[in-house]
Amino acid sequence: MDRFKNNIKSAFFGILLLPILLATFFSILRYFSPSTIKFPTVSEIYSDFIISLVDLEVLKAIFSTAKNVFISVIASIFLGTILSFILNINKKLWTLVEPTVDFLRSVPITFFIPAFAIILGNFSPNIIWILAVIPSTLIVLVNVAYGIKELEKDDKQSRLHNYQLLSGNKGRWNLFRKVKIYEILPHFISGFKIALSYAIVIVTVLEYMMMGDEIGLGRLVNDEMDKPNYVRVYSLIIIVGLIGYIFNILIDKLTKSFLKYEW
Amino acid sequence: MSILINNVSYNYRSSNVQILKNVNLEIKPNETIAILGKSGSGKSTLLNLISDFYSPSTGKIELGDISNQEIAYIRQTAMEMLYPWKNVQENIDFALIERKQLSSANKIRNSELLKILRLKDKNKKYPNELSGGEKKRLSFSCGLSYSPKLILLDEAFTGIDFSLKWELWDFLRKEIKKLSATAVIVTHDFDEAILLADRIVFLNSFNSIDEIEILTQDLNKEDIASAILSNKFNELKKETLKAYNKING
Repeated sequence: MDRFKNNIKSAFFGILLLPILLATFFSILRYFSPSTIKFPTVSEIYSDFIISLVDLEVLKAIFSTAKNVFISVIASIFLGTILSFILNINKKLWTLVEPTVDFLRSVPITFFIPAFAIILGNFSPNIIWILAVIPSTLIVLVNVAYGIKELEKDDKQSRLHNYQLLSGNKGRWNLFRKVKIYEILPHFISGFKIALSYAIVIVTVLEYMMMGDEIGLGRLVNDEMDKPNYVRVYSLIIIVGLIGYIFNILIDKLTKSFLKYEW
Repeated sequence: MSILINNVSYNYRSSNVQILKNVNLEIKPNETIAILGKSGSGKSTLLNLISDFYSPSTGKIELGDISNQEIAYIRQTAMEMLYPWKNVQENIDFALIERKQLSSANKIRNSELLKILRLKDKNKKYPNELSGGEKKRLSFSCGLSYSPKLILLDEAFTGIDFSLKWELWDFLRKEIKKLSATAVIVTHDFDEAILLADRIVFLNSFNSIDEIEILTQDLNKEDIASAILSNKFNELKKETLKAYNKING
């Protein structure tokens, strides 16, 4: 109970500290920005941030960005996990494809844009989430593959063997769904969290690059920069950060309610 | 029918290092034997072979009347037997649920096991919330929950304090008797070997079971404290030490 109270206390102070740190950051930016640019004050940014939360245009952009992030994360979980299991059916197969996976992971997603733009068109409604799916899938794939590889460790092997003994030698399918899945789960969740962060960054950057047919938060930032409306630009940056923060909290809550143990 | 280990050898496939060489051993029904030997002599490998975790490179292991569904393997590290995503109650019920044998009688037995090992009030806790001793006690409960006929113990009492060790020795001895089980104990601890086993055998420096063996049946083991203080125990300990030194040069 004490630990729970302490966690709540830390979380509360963490949330209080966030606007203070942001205010410091914005003040530093304002101090160093050239005098030709009218960099907004902290109070201007915070008051516009509150106004922007009820602005229909911003709400539409939040919805569009969140939708693309959600679709790309769900698709990457699905694809990454299935691909990882298929590629790890045979140890040799994984050894063969691992360099390619690592190679692709190292290529910035922006380099894939020309190819997909030719196939789908820059303003295709699906281009953003399709591009975001690529690196997110690779992240899930590698993390799940790592979990599968970890099954070879002595302690995991002992637990798998112990299941065979205690269950009276139930088949591979039971071993998979009763033990292996749970052994891999922590790695899957790590992959899921990183994939989500990737998706948020990539979706907003692609929107900023004027891809897709909807006005997401990234595109809105670009539009406001052109006006120029720097107050709104920084309000939108806070919103993007908050979306990531809320998604992370939701995942943590979901994980903790689903997995009542720590690993 | 006895458990027969006939001319069993085992090599690691990757390095081709021979871990066991022409091991021959007969374990009679309801007998408890202890295997002593230096580190690396192949004691744990032998248990892995008996439990069908490894397959012998040559030779054969016959379990007699015991099917491979009646084996429990209690290991040195408790977490190698416990499932972190299951709480204490779920861990102990796991085997019976998987075997579709969670009858009310078996539920009572599991509840008794938890009570004896002082885990009853912790049945909703997860393994990571338990102390080292509690995890160890839980691993014993889990191993014995499905009333195995062959119990394999691989340095299962290592790293626990003396009082818990005594408690678990006593518990295990009674359970083996109650279940009419056969047990194979791998250990470095002479006291454990003498107090738990009916017979002590040695793995020698040739990675084979030596001809020398020590019978401990004459020692009255009903009360561990009295047994340890008896002259017979001291005699057996001297005999075991002598044999161990002779075998390992």
